[in-house]
Amino acid sequence: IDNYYNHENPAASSGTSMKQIPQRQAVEELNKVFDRYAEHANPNQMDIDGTIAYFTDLGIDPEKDVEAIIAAYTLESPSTGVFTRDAFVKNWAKVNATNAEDMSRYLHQAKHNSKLMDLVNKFAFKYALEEGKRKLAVEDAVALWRVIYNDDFAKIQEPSTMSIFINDFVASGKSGKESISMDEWNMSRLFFSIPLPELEHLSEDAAWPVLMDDFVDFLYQRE
Amino acid sequence: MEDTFLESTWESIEPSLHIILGDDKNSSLDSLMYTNTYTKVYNYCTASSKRSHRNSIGGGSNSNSTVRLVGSDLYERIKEFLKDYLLNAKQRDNESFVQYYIRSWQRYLIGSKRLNDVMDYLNRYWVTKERSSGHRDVYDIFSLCLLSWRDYKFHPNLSILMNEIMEQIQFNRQGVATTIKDLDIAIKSFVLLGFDANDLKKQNLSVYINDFEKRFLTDTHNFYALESAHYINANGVVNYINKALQRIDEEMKNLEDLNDHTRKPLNDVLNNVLIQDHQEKIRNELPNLLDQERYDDIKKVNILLKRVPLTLPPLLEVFQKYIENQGAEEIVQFKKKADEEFNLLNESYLSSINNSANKSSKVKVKKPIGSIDPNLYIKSLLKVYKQYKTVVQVSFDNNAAFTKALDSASQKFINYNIIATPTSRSKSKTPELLAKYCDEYLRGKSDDMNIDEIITIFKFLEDKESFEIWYRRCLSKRLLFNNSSPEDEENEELIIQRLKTANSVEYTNKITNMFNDIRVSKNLGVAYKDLVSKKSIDSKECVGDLEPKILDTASWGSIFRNNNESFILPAELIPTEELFTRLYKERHNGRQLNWVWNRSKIEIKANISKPGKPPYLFTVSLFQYAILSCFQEEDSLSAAYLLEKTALPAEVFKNHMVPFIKNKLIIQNPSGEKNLLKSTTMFTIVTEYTSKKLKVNFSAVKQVDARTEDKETNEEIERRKHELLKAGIVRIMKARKHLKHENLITEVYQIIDRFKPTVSEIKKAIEVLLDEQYLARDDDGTGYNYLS
Repeated sequence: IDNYYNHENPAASSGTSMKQIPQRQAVEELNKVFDRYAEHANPNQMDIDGTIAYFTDLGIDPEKDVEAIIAAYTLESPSTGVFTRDAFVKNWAKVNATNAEDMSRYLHQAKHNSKLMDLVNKFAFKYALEEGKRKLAVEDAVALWRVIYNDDFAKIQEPSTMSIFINDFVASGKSGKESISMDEWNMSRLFFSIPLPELEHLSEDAAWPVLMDDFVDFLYQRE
Repeated sequence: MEDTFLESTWESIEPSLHIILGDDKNSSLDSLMYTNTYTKVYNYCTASSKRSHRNSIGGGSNSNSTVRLVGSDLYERIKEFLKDYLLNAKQRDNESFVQYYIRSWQRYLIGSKRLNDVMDYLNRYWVTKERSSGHRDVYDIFSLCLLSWRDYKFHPNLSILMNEIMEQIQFNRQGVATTIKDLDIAIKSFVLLGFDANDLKKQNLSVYINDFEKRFLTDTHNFYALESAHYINANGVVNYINKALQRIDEEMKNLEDLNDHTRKPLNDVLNNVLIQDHQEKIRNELPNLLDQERYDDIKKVNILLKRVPLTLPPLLEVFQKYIENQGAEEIVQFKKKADEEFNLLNESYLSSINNSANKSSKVKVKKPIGSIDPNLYIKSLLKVYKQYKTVVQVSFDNNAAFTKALDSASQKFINYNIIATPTSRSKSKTPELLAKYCDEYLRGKSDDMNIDEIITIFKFLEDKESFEIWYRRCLSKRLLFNNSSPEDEENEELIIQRLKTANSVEYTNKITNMFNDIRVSKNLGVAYKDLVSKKSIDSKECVGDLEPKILDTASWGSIFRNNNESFILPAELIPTEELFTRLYKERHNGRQLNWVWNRSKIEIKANISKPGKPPYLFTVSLFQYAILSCFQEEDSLSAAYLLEKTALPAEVFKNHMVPFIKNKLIIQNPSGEKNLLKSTTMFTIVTEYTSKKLKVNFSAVKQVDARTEDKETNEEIERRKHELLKAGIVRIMKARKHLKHENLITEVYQIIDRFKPTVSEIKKAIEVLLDEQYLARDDDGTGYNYLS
């Protein structure tokens, strides 16, 4: 993550209106923001209640909005609903976001950065995984996909590769899968970028996971 | 300047030259005239030479031109003479031109040789000198004769000559009788008339090729194009093949009359016009001929087409396709017949059920099983293979290409047919059926089976992995439940030997191990008996007659995979278990011993006969023994008690209880199958058992049904293949570190030779390896990196 920001800062490059705040002042302000949501027992951590309050203040629905996952990725959340003070301050300071408005703007803009979203997508899978598990139960995977592609779902007029795959194939149980592997998850993002009509020519000989081949068979009612 | 010496010489030799070349009266040539002529020419040449020599000294002029002038005059005279001679020689009224040509050429040729001889001095003295000083238009007298013939006899008449020669050849082909003989003399004249001006001794075929061969080949092509097209339509392909072969034979014989140069182009023409132009029709006749089993005719097809190698690949294709279809059709028919027989049996079974309900008849008809008879199935496959193997032998001379076509076709119908693969994506059942054929053979079920048949089909199996697993499954039953005779064992070993030869030592490893396990177990049984017979304190409560079978998990494990139901060993058997376990551990320290209870059988003596009668001998399963053991104390027990005491799963308990109830050893109350597992149901053992036989076998317990077993085996095959694929992929990636997806797939196909994995099977193995982090996708997701 650090490496990523050293090379490119999506918010900074697009947010021209942002003021350059001296580093020390930013840290101070961010600590104050964090204080508002910190746990009583452990002031260096934000727990689930604090996190919900924080997202509400940013105007983000943690259940439905992809911004919540981008925030978790950006702020190096160790587990669902948990933020630590150090990472919170360090990472917001890096992108010069010190108040709710800046933070919210940063997160909204970040979701249009496809390179960043590739990383967020990979992060999301591991983030959602239960301790010790390597695969995500189908219903959890579907729920996560729906958050990540929330905007796309809202926008689309007619079925796309992504919507048919998630709704009609996986969520419906027609895929015969009970869980989604990390490889399937990671490859799904690239797969969804293939326009629906082009899937007919997708070859089984390509490197796609079997799940994708099965989907094409399902789509064209092949045996 | 007039040369009187030349004039006098010429006058004296000219009549002789006429006679030498042949005059109208056909005067004979005597040796005196011959010698005289020679001498005169010699005198002329030498005298002229002296004269010119003197002249050259006296005149001081160029001596060379003078020398040349001398021979030249005579030479020119001869040249003129030949021209006149040839122009004046005329055809007779009663002969055709070609007849005349042959006749006069024969004579002229002899004459030319003689003329050459009498002019020998001129040849040697003058011609040689001229030619060596570069005068290429001067020839020895024989060549001059031929040249003159060419210019005055041959060229002016070439077209009529060729027409008549070709007419004769055509007559010959059509079988029309002619009076003309020695046509070959006319044809061979074309060869002699070719000249190499630089080297007169060298044969030059330009005249033969340009003036004869070209026309000959064209006419031949046209003649056979017409004839063959007509013949094949009028008489059919088979007759045509005979005709074509006969024509080729004839033409090859007629080649003797021609120059050998024509051999190759003539063959080409014949091959084109007689074979290549009709190859499709000939080829398409093959299925009919095969249908009618006309193997001699097929042999002729082969002999004919073999002349044109490029017609063979399409013929092979037809042959291969035909066998594939025959194989597929044979199995379709086989299945149809099997289905019909099954339906018949089923009908009689169903009607017998109705009848017995009505009349309570005691005739029992077994419920038929709709399964494939392995022996008949394998026989059907073999029938097709053997039939076309014979064809390859008889008709195709055991040619390697045809053997290969047969093998490819056989591999196809043996692995894929309506029984083996009912749907396009189903796995082939042939390995399973072949393993079952082996089982029936080794159990001696039928006399008409043999190892050669097994190996023949085995070699064609694409999925040898499945066969091995099915084979082991059948073998395990033979080893565990059959008392094999030494002869049986010999057969078992023979098959393993053959499989090893046909595949590899590694392939039969597990099978061999299974045999060894049984052998080792026998020894262990003996050792155990010795131990018990010593009657030490440890062993007094132990079962003396134990037949242990120690089976290595690596070879047998998958067979006992789903056999780990809960069970409590009856207390009286525990010392036996402990003693044996100790004995085993002493011998094989560090090995883990797992007891497979549900495979155990026990023989017990039951003292529940009527008074005065001998006790019964019961054969029961270990589970049944555990149930009976509970009745030692009480005669009546509840289902709940028995289930608790034995700890058996309800279904297993039920299956083992049923034989007791059916054979009226135990009375169930309330009766009925649905009450059997109710906890309050009471079971009472009879106090006096009655049976006609002294030995009663209760152990025929309803087993896990065959379908589950098939399923289990198929799962085992899937697992095994998956493991092999994973191991193969890891091996490749470990060596390569990074590979693109398609390259990895190619390499997998190269190293996995015992079965043909599907793309999806390979991908699944890759995905598992990705998941287990042996591999990682490369950056663009189209290849893999090996993670060590």
